[in-house]
Amino acid sequence: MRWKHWWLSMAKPSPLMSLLGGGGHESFDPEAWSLLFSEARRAGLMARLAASLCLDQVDLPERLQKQVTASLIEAEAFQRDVLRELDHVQQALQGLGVPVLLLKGAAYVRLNLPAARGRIFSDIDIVVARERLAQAEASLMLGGWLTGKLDPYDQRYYREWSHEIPPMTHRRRGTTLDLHHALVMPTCRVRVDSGKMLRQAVPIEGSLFWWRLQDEDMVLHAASHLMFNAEFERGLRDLWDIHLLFCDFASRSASFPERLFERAREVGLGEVIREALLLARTFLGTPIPEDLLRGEAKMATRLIARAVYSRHRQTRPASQWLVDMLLLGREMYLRLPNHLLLRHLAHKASVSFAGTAPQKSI
Amino acid sequence: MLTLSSCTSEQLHRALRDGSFRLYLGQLALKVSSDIPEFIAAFRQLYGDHPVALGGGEYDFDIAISAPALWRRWFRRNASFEFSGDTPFLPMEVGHAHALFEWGLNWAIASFLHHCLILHSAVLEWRGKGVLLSAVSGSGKSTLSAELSEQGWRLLSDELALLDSDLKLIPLARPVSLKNTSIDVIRRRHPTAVIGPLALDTHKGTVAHLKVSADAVGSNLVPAIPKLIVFPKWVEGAPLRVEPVGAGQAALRLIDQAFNYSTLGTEGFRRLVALVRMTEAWQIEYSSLDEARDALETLVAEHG
Repeated sequence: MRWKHWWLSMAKPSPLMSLLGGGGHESFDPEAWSLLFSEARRAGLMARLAASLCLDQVDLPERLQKQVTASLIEAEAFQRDVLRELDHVQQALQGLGVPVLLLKGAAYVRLNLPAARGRIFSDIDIVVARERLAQAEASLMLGGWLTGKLDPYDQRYYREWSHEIPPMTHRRRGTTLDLHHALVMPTCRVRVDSGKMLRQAVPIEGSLFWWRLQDEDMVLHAASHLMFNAEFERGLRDLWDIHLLFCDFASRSASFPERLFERAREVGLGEVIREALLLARTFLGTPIPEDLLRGEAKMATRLIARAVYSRHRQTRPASQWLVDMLLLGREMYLRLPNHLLLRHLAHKASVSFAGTAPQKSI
Repeated sequence: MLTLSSCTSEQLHRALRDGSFRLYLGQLALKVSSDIPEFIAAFRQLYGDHPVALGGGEYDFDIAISAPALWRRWFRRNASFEFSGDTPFLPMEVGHAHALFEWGLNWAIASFLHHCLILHSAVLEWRGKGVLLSAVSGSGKSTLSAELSEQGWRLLSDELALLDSDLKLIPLARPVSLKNTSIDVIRRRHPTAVIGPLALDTHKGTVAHLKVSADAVGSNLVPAIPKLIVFPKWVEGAPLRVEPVGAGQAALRLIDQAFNYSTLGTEGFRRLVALVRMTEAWQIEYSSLDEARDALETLVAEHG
């Protein structure tokens, strides 16, 4: 693991990354804990961290314990809200009589997986078959979810090229729902057989309505989400998800790691899963059999390593902003074939010279 | 303990730059960083009596008031509120930096301190009895709190009531936010009151902050027991009206003004019900601050 050391030597000491990497917390004074919590907030991981500290029964100074308690209360409320929202979605789509698949955060919560612990996310992701997409959208609109106003270009981007329709927001509750018909952009340069993953989805135990990806595909989906992404604000959370999913499934079946890699090759994600697990092992110490990860990490993975590291002002790597820009370019490249990419960039460049709409204020 | 006013300007600037400054706001410890002179000047003026540390230490919130981009330090100068290095709001012009700090801090408290039930309400104490002044924005809550605190009431907060699991009100004495005409009202009535710089043309109009008394700051670690809930409403030219409010009605009105009632789930309900059971609730309509204060002091004496 030469590149691992190369990488670590470039980073500033971060209590969060040290704790996640299994470095222990015995040496942390209250100020180091405070910085750790601040880093966790920056990464959107405060509730996840709180859940994990609580599980490990870590003794904390009073001030910090209060912050943990407050985060646990928030996480609990969040899970209640997600489950209630899923009931609403179910009510809206029940009449269609088609399988509806839950992805990512909502799936983890519904399945009560370790990856759901303290996971705070902004939208619920569901999938229906492409042929039933229009009907599903219509039913959701009747239930109160609306796609906001988009300019004609963005409409077209979503409707023609993307794997999802524009995000739908509930007009009263303000919750956001992403309705997908595939797991990755159909225009993606890496040929991924996401249809196969969807066709082999399974019903969620105890539910007559919801479906889920099978275990291997859940990890693969999380990995492809991380590795094809350009938004690394939540990159560390996504990596932690992969770690928790992997450990959970591997603890239930000893042959899980091998099956995971075999399945990855089957659907065209062999490289992606290897790179994602390399990162997970580097930063979270995920116990992956050595023979599955042989070889050096790719350049892109080394860049992603910098992007998923702490993003806190005090502890982020110096060149993180540059890495972010490179990865944004890479994501666009992966998503769209050349002729579409050119058109997309030309359009976005022309819009950036028009005025900007005001963002949120206090 | 060291107070802000006893630090030299040099010490303060250095600690605010190198991350070793801590402000103690009752139970809360804040790491505050800034290199914006306008903010630092207002901060010194308004938080002079608050305990601080210059050598680091643990903290609850990591807050910075800083320029959003390097060139914004010199040209079209702006200030951002950074929370753990994130900027949840748009930057504001540099003259609004202190108001931005107060708003950002309110946001942080309401978003994170879920071990307390957080209500949008001023909290004061008179003769050892805690009083919540709960009202929608624009009903004169802050002006009334400022007046009461200048008249010897102990201020715990002009904006946020924090009710902990023991049903005690957690103090958070810090500058009171005054808006528009109320700035002059308080200035006229209390010429010696310390009022910070005016932030003109904010989304709430003109805003300025009143420094709270050293006594109020000194009691910031002593919680208050809630005894009275008052729904005040300022109406121009109106005669004083004082009416009782039923416990159920009071609870519903407080839920309406709560920040994290649903986050707390059943515990939120339990705490709110206990609160309205251990207190009496009243509403008052007034046009004169003197009459309102008299009425409140009578209410506390007879019903608190």
